Amino acid sequence: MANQEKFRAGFKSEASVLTRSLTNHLLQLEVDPQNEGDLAAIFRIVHTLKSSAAMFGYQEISHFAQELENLVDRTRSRRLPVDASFVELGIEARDHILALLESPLADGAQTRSSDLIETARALSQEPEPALVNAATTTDPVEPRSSITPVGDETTYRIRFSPDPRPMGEGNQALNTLRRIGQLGECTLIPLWDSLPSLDRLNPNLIYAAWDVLVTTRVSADLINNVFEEWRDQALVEIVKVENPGRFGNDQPKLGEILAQRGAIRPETIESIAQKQLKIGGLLAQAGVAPQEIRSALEEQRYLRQRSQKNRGVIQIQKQNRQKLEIFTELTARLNRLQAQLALASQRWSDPDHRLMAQNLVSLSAELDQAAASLRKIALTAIVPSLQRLTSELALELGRPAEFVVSGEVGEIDEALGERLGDLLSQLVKAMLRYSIEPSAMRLARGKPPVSTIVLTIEEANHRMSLRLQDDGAGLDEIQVWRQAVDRGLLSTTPASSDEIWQAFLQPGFAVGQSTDSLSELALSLGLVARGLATLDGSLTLSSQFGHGTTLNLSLPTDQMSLTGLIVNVDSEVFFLPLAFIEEVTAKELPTPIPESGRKPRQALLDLRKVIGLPSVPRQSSPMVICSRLGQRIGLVVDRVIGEERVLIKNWNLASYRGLNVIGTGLREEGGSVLILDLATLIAEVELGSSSLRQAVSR
Amino acid sequence: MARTGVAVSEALKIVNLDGQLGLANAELVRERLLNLLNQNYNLILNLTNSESVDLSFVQILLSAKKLAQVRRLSIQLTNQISPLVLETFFWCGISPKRVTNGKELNRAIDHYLLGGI
Repeated sequence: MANQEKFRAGFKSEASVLTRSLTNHLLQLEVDPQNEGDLAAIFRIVHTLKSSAAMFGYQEISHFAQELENLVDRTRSRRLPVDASFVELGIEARDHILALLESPLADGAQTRSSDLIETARALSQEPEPALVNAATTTDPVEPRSSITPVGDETTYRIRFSPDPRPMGEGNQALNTLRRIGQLGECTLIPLWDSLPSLDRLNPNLIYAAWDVLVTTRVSADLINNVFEEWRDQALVEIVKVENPGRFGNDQPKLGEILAQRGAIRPETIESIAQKQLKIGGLLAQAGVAPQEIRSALEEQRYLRQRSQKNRGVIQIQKQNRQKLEIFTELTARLNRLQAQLALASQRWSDPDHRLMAQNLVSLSAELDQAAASLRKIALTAIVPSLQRLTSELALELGRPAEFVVSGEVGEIDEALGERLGDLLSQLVKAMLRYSIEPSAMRLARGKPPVSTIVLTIEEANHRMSLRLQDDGAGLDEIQVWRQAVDRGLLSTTPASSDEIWQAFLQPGFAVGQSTDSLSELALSLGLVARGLATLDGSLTLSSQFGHGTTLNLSLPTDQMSLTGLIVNVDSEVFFLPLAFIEEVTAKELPTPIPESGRKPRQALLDLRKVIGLPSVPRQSSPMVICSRLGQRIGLVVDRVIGEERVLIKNWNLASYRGLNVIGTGLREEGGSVLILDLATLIAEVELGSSSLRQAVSR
Repeated sequence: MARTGVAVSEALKIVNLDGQLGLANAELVRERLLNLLNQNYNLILNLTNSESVDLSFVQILLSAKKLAQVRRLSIQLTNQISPLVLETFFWCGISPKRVTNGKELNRAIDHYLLGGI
């Protein structure tokens, strides 16, 4: 009995310290609501209060703290904003916990608990989903809880702290850690500072906690699922590890890691750093637990290693890029050959030969797919820049907004991803400028002060659908219809919503002298629609006045890209794959006679002559030196437009004006180019092909 | 079931810890080690015949080493330890990389316990 009282006294003392700390962090949040460190610290304090209270028989406090923890958790995951109500409730909750500590059975204590719990639950309610689609007004916005994309590698720090309790099956915690270890590269940092000496050790209790650093492609939500069996039995914090690098070094400093964790305030670190003494020892003196410092040091080491590893990867990637270009080009040529073979094999009578031809066709198709997959990147690679754009522009415009991603995430050709990122940026800018309302207006309309732009990605039948949805002011369909009629895009007869929104994206909607915001928006969206068209994609729009706008993008996913030179001859534009190009020089006229004993110059092929155009006398013409397997030719063209990456629209067998082409590509600025089969061209020149003889000089 | 036995004499004792070292015999192991440390023995833990350990054993070993440090005694591990046992220490985070024998594990545990800043 005496022991029980002693423990309870110890808990009261601990709770007193924790509530003081809680107050400090709440007040700090009032000044800086975005401070994740303070939020994380508050969560830890409330969780500790909950667990300890339960252990020492303060069930009322434990129950109350559980409700508070739910609220803080939602705030921490940004499902609820940090605002004055949150801070106020936090302070009231602190007062109530202190009162319960003194007299848990006091009159009115239970009523006060119930009142505060009700307030916490009311605050925890997420906003009702907005109705978004004008045509089907029952489609809700995707819930924001399912937002975390899967794709790029991300490093997470997981604080896994089982409640002090009987450990049950002795390896349960280790099994959980093993499962985390299967998610990616992982470092475990045990936190065993509370482990008592052997004479006071109860071997049935877990004293351990862990910081786990894991670099993985899975989302935080999936990581959280691993801890499902520890629900309500452990503190589990999953935090994305940022690499701050504020001091001009791309490695995080020990103090920065601790500040990010909320273990110490940045100002304290600055003042300590000025003393120019050993930072670890000073931090320990400043009250940071030694195990926290040890864990942060481990994290620093881990991030340094990751960074060095990444630098190596980038270098290898650069070296491999050129090899990949050659591989892609050769695959295209093989495709061409297999198609010719497939055609020819239809005339063959020998079944064995026909079977071999079929096998080659099948193998070639697989190789083609493999080549395409090598050039792909996770679609989520474009997300961070969109999130950054949203937060920066939202700040600039005074319209708080967040950008979240939901849905299936696939891979996309690198070049297509870059272009898609640009187009999505344009759309996000347009939404922020013309659709999202300022906070005050949103509050007046009963909306949350921070608006949300949700990108939902789906993939089916080799096409990718992206839905960009805001919960802003939406567009007035009637007004759009009137303007479309005024501009002759629609007749005065009733039009469907689809027809109206289609007209809005037509080039004619934004022309004229009108500079109203509707026209500006139409102009922006129209440009994006035309950009998408160059990628064989499309854009549609729907909007509900007062509730938000939805943009639907669709484009193929199985496109590949190729880097090369764009050249032109007269009005014809050709693409020369970079894998075969050595240099670009000028062909001097007249051609100098090679000096005796020197290696003769390579054969020159005048592309004008090949396609049947008369030569134009010039002082000099650009010449592209192409080579393959030691054979070189100089390709004389009218103009070299520049290096470019084109998206492969299709691999086509064709002969165009006497030239072999292997397909067509889509240019960034729009329009198609023919991809020349340089390998065949070089071989034909060297072999003295009769069809090219007129165009070749040496 | 673990079998704990004591051999050698004077200030050094070898403690044989065989079989599965888990919750079921954790208290027995703790008491045995505590008694020996209370008698100021340096210890060598022979884990050669231990089949597996769990978190409770890891905690006992760490705690015993802490106590030994305070009393200026030593606890060492025999070199031959089964991979399964070593793996448990790895997943506890005690050894930063997979160690292959008792000597390395011993060093890793001491490094962790000393864990300077």
